[in-house]
Amino acid sequence: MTDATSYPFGDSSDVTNRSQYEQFLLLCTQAGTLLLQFGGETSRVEETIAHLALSAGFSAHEVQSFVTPTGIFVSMNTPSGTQTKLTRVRGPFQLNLAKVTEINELSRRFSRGECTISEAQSALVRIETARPIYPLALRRACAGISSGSFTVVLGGSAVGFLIAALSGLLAQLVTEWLAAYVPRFFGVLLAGLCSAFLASSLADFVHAPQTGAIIVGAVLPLLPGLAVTNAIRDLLAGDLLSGVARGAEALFTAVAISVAVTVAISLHAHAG
Amino acid sequence: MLSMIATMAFAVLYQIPRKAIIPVGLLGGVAYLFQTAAMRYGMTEVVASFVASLSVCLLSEGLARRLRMPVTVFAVPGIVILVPGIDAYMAMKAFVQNHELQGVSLLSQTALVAGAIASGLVISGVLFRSVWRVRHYAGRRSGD
Repeated sequence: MTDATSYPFGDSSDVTNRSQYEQFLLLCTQAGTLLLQFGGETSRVEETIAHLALSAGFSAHEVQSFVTPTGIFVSMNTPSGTQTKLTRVRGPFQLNLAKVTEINELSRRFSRGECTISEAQSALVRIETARPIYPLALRRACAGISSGSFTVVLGGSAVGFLIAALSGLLAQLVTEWLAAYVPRFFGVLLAGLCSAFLASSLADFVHAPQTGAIIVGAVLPLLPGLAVTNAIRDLLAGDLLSGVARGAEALFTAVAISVAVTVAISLHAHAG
Repeated sequence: MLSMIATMAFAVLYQIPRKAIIPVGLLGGVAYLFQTAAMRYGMTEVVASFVASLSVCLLSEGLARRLRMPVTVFAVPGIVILVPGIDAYMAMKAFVQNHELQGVSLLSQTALVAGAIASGLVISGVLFRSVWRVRHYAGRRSGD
């Protein structure tokens, strides 16, 4: 080992010191897992781990991480050899950008030296178990409101607002319900089918103009906005693997939505 | 105005921090305004979407640094209003009604608009990444 390397917790043959290295490794993977589950980019996870390592006192490149959307590898040089940890990240993925922001803030506090490793760990647990800032009912209502307003922006009427709001609410409920059982894009396919069919039947029933705007508004809550943005940001950060993977996810979701809408309107054309 | 409400409600689905809700709503309004204004001045939908997406993403990067939040918090809801939903719908409808040629043309229009929105994200990301890096290193060298 050269003089340039520094080990923050001292000789790892000492039992207390060794457990400190392990605690630090655990902190890195916990923070990373939570970031991925709440919808952070993989490049953000890698940057966060590098940040934590630097502020814990490791010299650059002593802690290396390789993050994909479904797993985290962290490897760390200690005086007694390399320690590696692999964590498989599985769902349920629930988008919560407020929690991503909080974990970001926590890593900044850690690097300013305002909290220790164990304090950071308990703060992570607190963030994970904290109740969402918007109650479920409000989130569902907002799915409806965003669908309805989008329809009106696209040229729909007040009746269109109501129909799209109802169908958007249905889309949100179906995706929430299916999220635990099927892959995301398949859930989106079924949810899109239900909501587009409801939207076109209702629009036909009350003879509302602008059926297109209503159907487009109805499937709005299903759009893969975060997947697209994360894919692009990962590609820009040089995480080609994750970027392509997220891009594929976004593409599948978009195709699923359009297939759902196509099937719904052709079903409706045959039924009517 | 309604575009702002649509954007804010969409942002709640992604559970963005409370402090960010109002700026995000404004971003949605800016996006819609830029897109319609650009189209009124005779730009095609593709160019107009690119202009709107680029300005929203640049603003998002700025806001993210000022409020110390991830860029995705602002960019994701901000660009949602630009999504070429009607084009995609018309394309699907054309295919269902056996107007294949029209469907292909509408579909390529949709793909181009989506690409324009994505390039807005790419360009603003590249600009801010490189500018930030230059500043960062310059600051370091001057002993900051």
